[in-house]
This record gives sequence, C-alpha cells and structure tokens, in this order.
Amino acid sequence: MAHLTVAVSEGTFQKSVDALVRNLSFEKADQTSFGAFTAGYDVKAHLEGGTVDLRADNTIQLKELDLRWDRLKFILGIDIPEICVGGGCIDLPWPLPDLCLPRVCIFSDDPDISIEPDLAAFVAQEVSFTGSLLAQYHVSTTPGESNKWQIFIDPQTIDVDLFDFPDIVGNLIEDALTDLITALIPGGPVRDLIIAIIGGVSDLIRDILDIPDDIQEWLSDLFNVSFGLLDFIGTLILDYFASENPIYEFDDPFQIMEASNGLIPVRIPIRNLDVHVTDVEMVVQADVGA
Amino acid sequence: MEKTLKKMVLNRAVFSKRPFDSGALTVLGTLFHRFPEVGDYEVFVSRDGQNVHRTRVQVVSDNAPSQLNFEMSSASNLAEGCGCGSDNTLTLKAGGVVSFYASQGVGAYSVSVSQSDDRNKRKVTHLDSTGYLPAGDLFAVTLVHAGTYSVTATAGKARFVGEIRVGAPGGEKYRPDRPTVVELGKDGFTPKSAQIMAGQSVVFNLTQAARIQVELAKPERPGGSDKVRQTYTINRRRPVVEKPASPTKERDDSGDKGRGKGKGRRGDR
Amino acid sequence: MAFTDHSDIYGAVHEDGINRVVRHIMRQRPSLFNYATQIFAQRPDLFCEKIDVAAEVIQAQNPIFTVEKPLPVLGTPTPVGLNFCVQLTDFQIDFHPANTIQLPPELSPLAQQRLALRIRACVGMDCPSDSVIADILPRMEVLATAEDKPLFGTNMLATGGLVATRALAASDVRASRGLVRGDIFLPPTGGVLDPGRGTDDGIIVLPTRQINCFCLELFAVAHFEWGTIGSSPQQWLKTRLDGIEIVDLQPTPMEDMIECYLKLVLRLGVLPRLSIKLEKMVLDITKIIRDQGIAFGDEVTIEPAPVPAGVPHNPAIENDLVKVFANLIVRSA
Repeated sequence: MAHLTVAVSEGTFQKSVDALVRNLSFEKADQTSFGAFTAGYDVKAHLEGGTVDLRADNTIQLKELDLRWDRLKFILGIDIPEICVGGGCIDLPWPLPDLCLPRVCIFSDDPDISIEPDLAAFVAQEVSFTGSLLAQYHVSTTPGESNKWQIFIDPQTIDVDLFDFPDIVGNLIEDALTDLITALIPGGPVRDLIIAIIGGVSDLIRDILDIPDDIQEWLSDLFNVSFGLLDFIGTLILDYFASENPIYEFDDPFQIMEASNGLIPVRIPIRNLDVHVTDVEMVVQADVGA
Repeated sequence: MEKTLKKMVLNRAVFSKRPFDSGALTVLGTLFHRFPEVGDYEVFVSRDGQNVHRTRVQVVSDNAPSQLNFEMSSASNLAEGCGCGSDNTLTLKAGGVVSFYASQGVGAYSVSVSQSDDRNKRKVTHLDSTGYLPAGDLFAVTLVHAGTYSVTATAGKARFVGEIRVGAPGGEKYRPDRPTVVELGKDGFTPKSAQIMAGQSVVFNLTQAARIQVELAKPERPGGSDKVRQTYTINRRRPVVEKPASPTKERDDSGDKGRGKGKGRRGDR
Repeated sequence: MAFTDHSDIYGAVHEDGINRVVRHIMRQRPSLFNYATQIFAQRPDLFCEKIDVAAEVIQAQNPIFTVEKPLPVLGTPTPVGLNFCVQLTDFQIDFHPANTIQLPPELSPLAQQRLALRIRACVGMDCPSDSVIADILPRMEVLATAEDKPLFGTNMLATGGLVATRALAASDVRASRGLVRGDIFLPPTGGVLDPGRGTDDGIIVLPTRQINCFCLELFAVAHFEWGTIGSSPQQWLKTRLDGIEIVDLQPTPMEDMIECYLKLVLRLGVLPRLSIKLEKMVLDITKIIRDQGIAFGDEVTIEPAPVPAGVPHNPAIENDLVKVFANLIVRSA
C-alpha cells in the first residue's frame, strides 16, 4: 500500500481547473500581405468557465471552456488600384505597328485605406479537450530551488470552435470600407466617372478582397485558415496545460515542518508518485522515501 | 473602429473643361509622331512657348521598340535651374512612334522634331506641333465629360468638322481603355461622328497634314439627360395679411362662378 | 466507495509512511529528541546512543540536542550540578488495528481510532569519582562553615570556586579523551540551543569522565485531533496522549512517577512540536488554487470536514492509516 494517498473530488478538481483557467490569457498580433490587400489581427483573449468531467477510463474531459476575446481587432488595409482614364491600344494597318495610348490617372498616388474594427463583441467560441493526468518530476536548474513533483492535464486533442462571424460583421466591414472609399472620391460628375471606372465601390471591394460570396464568410476563412490563429490558440492551450502550468505541484523533498528558531525545516522525500482518476475523483499516491 | 485614409491629391487637370488642340497639347491630349526614317533626330518640348526639354531620338532599323512614350509634364532638362543635362537619347525602331503627352498640370505643350542635313548644312524640321501635324501622325484625346464635342481639322484652306458624342459611363462592359479611331483624309473625318463613353479616347489618324481641335460644345447635364429630378416640395405657410381693397377693376373671366367679388382674395392654396 | 464521498479532499498516511516521516523528523530535528547538559556539545561521545543526524543539520549548524541545566546536587552550600542526558532513540507508531507494536496488558487492546506508540528512552547521568569529590570537598567545607559570607561576589572563595570549576572542567576534558564512546560528532562550531543556559551561570558542574546510562521501553496510546494554535485560524493535526506504560519497572510507585514525568515530557515538550498543518496532510494540494485565488482576490481556505455531519471520524485512525477529510472553502472577492 502506498504511504500517502490524497484524493480530490470532482468538484474540487473543477476548482483547481478554474484557478488554472482563470490565469490563461494571451495576446498576439500579426499581419499578412495578400497582394492587393493586407489583413491582420491584434487580439487578446482569456479563458472562462468550462466544466470538468472525470471519467472511469482514467481520462478527463474539459469542455465548454469559453474563449473570451478582450480584443479582437481585425486589421484590413487595401491598396486601391490606380483609377485612370484613356489607355488601350489600336491596330493600325500593316506595316504600321500597333499603337498604345498612355493612361492618365485620376489620383497622384495609389490610395490606401485601412480599417481596424474590434470584433470581440461578435464572436463566441468554445474550447474542449480530452486528456489524461500526467505526473512529472521536474529537476530544478535554479540554485536554491527545490525539485518538484508536478501533475499536468495532458490533453491529447483539442477542439476550438471555428470563427463564425455573423452577418452584421460583414455589413460593418463593408460599410466602413465603402465610407472610406467614397470619401476618397470627389463629388459631381467626377464621381460618376470614377464610380464607372471602378465599377462601383461594393464591386471594387469584392474584387480587391477576392470575396466570392458573403464578406463574413471571407472573414471567417481569414481567421480560421489564413491567419493560422486557430492553430496558435490550440497549441497555446495545449502547451499551457500540458507542459507549462501544472494543476498541482509540490516540492521534493516536501516540507512538513517549517523552519523555526534557526532550525532547518523538516522535509521528507516523496517517491513513486502516481496519479489517476476515477469517474468521481482524482487520486494521487506516493511513498515516503527512506 | 479605427479608420485611416492615405491623403491623395486629385489630378484636377483631368477634369478641366479646356478645349483640346493639337497645337497646344494639354492633359488628356496625346500626339503620336511617326519616325519613318533611320537617323538622328532632335526633339524639343516647349511649355507655354518656352523650350523646357531637349532630347535626341535615334531611329534604328532594328532591335528597338516601335513605340516610346514621352511624358512632357515631368520633362524639363532645359528649364531654368534644372541642370538636368541634355545627353539623353531615345532609341526607336524605324517606322515607330513617340507619344508625347502630359499626365498632369495645366501647361500647354508643343513639340518640334528636326534633323540636321549635313550635306546641305541645314536643319530639316519634321514636326512643329504648333502648326500642322504631318500626315502619318496621330492625335488622341481622352474625354471625361459627357456631352457633345465638336471636332475641327484645319488643313490649309480646308476645314473639316466632326462630332464626338460622349456618354456617361456605366454598365458592366464599360472599360476606359477602348479607344475609337477616326481617320482624317482629304474628305474629312471618317466617321464624321463618333460615340464613346467618358474616360475613353478618340484617336485621329492623319493621312494629311492638319491641326485638330476638339471642344465641348454641349455638355450633358449632370446626372444624365434622361433623368428627371424628383423633388418633394414643402410650401411654407404664409400668414394671411389683410390688404385694402384693390382700386383695379376685378376681372371676372376666370369662369369661376363660385367665387364672389371679395376684396383682397388670395389664392386658395 | 470513493475516498471523497463525504469531503472535498481526502488524505491518508499509512503507518509505514508515518514511521518514515518520524525518522526524518528525528534526523532533521534531533534537538527535539535529545536533551543534555552543555558538556555534551564538546563531548558527544558521552551520549548513551549515537545521534543519527541528517547532513543538512550539520550544514546549517543546527544543534543536535537541547541544552538543559545540570542536575542539581542537593544540599551543597553553593549550586553544584551533574551532567546528564535524556534521549528518545526510537519512535514507532502503529495505527489501529495494532499489528506491529505489542502493547503491554495495561494498554491493550488498542481501542478504535487510536494509535500505539513505542518509544525507547535512554537516560545518562554522571557519577563523579571519589578523587573528584575529594578535590572539591575542602572548598565545600569552607563554604559550608563560613558565616554570613555571600556565596558569590568579590570574595576570593567564590571566585576561587569558579576558577576551580573551569580548571576542573578543562582537566576533565583532557583526562577523558580515552573514554570516547562512539563516533558521534558535533557540528564544526558546536552550536547549542539556548547558550544562555550554559553551565557557567553560577553552578559548579562536576567534571565528567563517563556517563552511566540505562534505556527503557515506553509504550503509549494516543489519538489525533484538529485544533488551532494561538490566534491563527489555521487547523493543525495534534497528537494527544491517552496513556503511557513502562514495562517491568519496579517498584510500581517509582514506575508511576517516571511514567508521569515522561508523560509530561511528551505532552508538553515533544508532541506539541510535532503538530502538522492540515495542508501538509494533503501534500499542499490546494496551494495552486490558493495562490491563483489570491491573484483574483479570492480567499481560499481548507477546513476539516465536520464530524459527524460530514464524516464519522476526522481525523480517523483505522486500517493502519490516519485519514483526514477536508473541505475547500472559496470565498470570492
């Protein structure tokens, strides 16, 4: 029989997970050029809630963890193509060579616009994973710091909800871009000409962004695929639980009596640590070293 | 939401309503001069009557482009204080053209092309755009305002007129880079009337020397000629003011038998 | 049946484990189990039993015994003391049911929810030789017959007494070098507990050449209970002594008297210092929750599960285990 047995109920285990979860937050920002436009993000998020299910097969399931976005800035910069008149070539009878007309552009430079809407309020995602508990012995490399026994949640796979932006976000972005581009264009007949050249602001936006259908689907694809943000979140959470933040830890040797009156603390060596779960509790067992 | 807008400068010269003249090249007017013979040519560009640029065009039989584009508003190696030097040579294939155009500004430009004749020790002028453009040259105008333009070609004592109707752009198939060619021969313009959309160009291909002028004769009303402006009018209710009886004799030819002969009556609006 | 059917957290220590824990405490806190006069700091060889000390104690220059005043020689005209030592050399625990300690009939059978203790205690005391007594006797006679003389002060007799003590002690060290009883070593600087209570506070300690020792086996029955210490709400696991018995000591009144004394030593001296915090019984498993809670302003505490509403016994001693049942209390900010 093991010298030491400590059991933690599922409810208390949940509190431990809560404590761990509450401490997980991350920030990240990146931008990628897609040719005619640049898209990026500047995000900050944390985890909340979640329920723990201890299972009889010695696994734990952590489900419905809310991924709360404190900041979910979508950064979109567009290089509006040159808006020019004239141009084109004409065929002349042989032996005369073809002749091309110069184009004269309406603006002195390529217009650039960018928007940075914060979409945090529009996104709700959940994270779930199943894993096991893992006892590891950490050998300290810091002088004066004890070695530690650490118990990690070791998730095998993690499910992160895809970004799914509602229609209102698509409208928000499209309206913002339209406003900006419209502001670029002078009024009067000039506007008609420019609108005619660009084929309409809405069409221009869709052409530049290469949006086949709804803008919100395009946006979701950006976040889900192009940005690699889901991979980042998944890896971050996996690492956070699996190797960086033990759910329980204690020093080895373990101090049972504090130092007092100049006397050293009393510590006992802990050996053969084992951890497993049943459907109702987590059980840690260990021996006291000689 | 944070929004940023890079400040842009509108090329206002594009939207000016000045007439086009091959003798005074402005923005959206382009002269194509053909160099049929191999040789060295000297080109001067003048702005508002002042030479601002000199360049050399070396025309060769092969291994050279058949078209060069010369943007005059940025060419100024003879301008005061420029010090840009004059040793710049363009190489062109024989039979090719150089297009002279201004992309911005309000200046009026002219181009002269000459060639030294060593045997006769004199200078042969092939082009002086302030006068007639030689046969074989082309003159193009890009028209951005909708309306009807009159086109005039002067060739000696002959004077030819034509018309260009410019419609407001629109529709899915609109593209500004679709020029229309009009031939100028001994019988005048062919066709005499061309139809384009704003932002597109008309190229006059000269088979005889001439000077061409294009002018907006009848601008299209903003918003389109076929559009009827719909307005919602609210009349301000005016206070009724009692006036003394009119000394003039009241007419009773309105047919409104119901109306009495009241004094000071105003419309029942 | 789950461990945590009636509480949030369950902790259990098997008697094999607790005996190892006790052994670690004895090696790391030897001063809790060994008591002796100052002379033993220089002469650890005089101890009845070699003291097994952890290397960390030596490195930290911790004392290996608690210094006590010499045993007074009654009737002397000036305080005279004898060197002595008391050592608890073996400490074995057997949780109910008793199966490793054979309790004497006076304590048998071991009641439920009780633990059995077997302690080996050794007592050593100096017995000065006749020559030492002959040396010091003339001075005692002078002091004993002097009238109205202060025992200490500036008079030559008193001063001579102290000098003599020191001289005797020094000569005794030299003389006793051949009497080393074992390979017991002091820390390099020979640190002691409470150096103010040394032997030079007016007591003439008779020089010691050897210690006469005897060891006896002590059996005890005890139980655990929760309680606070001082004003802190922190819960501690405390050991409470129920009974004690020394085997085969005669006459019985003397046995009773010694048992009474040792009971006092255990109750007032040793056991209070062996109290263990509740958190330690569950391997500080709530530490991370508590630390994280502090960051968020939460108050996280651990409390024993109520008896009998929560569990029938807490702490419980059964099946060779001591079991503790605790609940986690989180008060959000």
